[in-house]
Amino acid sequence: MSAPFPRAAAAIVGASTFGMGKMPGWEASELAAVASRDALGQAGLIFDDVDGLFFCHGTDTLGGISFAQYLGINPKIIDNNRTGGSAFQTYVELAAYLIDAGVIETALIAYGSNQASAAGKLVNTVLPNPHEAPYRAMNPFSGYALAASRHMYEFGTTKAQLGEVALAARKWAQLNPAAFARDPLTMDDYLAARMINDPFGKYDACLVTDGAAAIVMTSRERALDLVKAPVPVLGAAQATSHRDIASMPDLTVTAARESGAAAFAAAGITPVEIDVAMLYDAFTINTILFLEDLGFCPKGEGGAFVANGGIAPGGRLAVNTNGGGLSCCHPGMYGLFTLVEAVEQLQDKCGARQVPDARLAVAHGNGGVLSSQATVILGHHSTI
Amino acid sequence: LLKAASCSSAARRAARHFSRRACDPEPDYNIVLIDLDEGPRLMSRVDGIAPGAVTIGMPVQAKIITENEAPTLIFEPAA
Repeated sequence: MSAPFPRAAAAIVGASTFGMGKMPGWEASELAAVASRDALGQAGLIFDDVDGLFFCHGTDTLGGISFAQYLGINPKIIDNNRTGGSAFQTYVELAAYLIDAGVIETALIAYGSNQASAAGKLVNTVLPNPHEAPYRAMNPFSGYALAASRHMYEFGTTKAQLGEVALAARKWAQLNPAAFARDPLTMDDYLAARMINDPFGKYDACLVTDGAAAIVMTSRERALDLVKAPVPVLGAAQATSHRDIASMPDLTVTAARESGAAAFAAAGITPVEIDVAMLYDAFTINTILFLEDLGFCPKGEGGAFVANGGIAPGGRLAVNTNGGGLSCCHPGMYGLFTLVEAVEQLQDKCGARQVPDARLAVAHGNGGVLSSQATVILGHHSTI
Repeated sequence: LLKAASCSSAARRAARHFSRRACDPEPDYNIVLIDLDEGPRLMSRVDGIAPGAVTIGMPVQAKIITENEAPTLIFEPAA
């Protein structure tokens, strides 16, 4: 027996990013604190109002309590769960249940990283798998490359179709003044890039940046008192299928199929109704896999879906409108940035990249090597 | 016979953040997921063939070699 997700019982009343790009001299918690302050401020709230803190730090395994100390607060609930980049979607799911149950009133979900300035590369904090280490897999790169190779083998997905994902992300980023990678990128540039992990070159991989993000959730009733345009959480669900790539049951099917189906069922809507799809693009193949697994197109047709500018500005579906992990930012864990962008689209705050009349958005998170999948469906204040 | 479920050749270059002219790239190598006839899938490498010549579905056979002073399972194209 499972409890139904509390549809629209909780709503997002603040969402902010800070420092996407390079922020030398800043610590991760400092970056996250500024984003948190700004997100809370949108609802007229302060740190002391937070009684549910959801936070994970790139390298501090006690990051949740460290961040509470840094903010000077003593929240009733601290969640420091680590499912990878999808952790933030799982926080939204849990916070919605806790708010609906009356356990907490104000949830702050925050993240910050200075990995680009501090380490200059993706910081790896996970245990190496002894059965993979001898073969020098470049994780997470190799895991995703293996999934992409299999997708190309089974469905005829092409390198140029992967390139369409990178080009679309770049075109959206060029409409977003806060995005980090906004230089022109052509298909020739993409195809000529040095191969790193066949079939991936540099433009198939997400950026390595600094950056922070935060969102604030509260009950629907309180949300309506606090802000003009609260964004209701209509559905949320998570699923996992493996940890290491060799244990993935089918290299071309992710657990987003389960998390997506459950989240859409909770929200009572179908993928064709979605106006904005924020899909965690750690690598170009991710976007294709999630378009398929979340139900935007049949399995194997993701390559055709993105072809001919299908997900670029003006295409058939607005996907990763901030520029994505590929061209906006990727500070180690990116899931929260998909949520902030979805909220801003639903609040009509996105300027040149605004999707007209955005009413429904999906923010999908991914963790590990396609290991953890978590889906959040967000609505418009008019749907409350 | 065992089959390659997926493969990726990794062109790894040492010290990416230093001048490319100053460091020669490491040779390419492949990373392969092998489906055993018994059912399990595991990560390994196919030797005895150019890294980029490994293809999905090709039959391979297991071999244990010594690498970094440790017994290591690799695969070779099936005869």
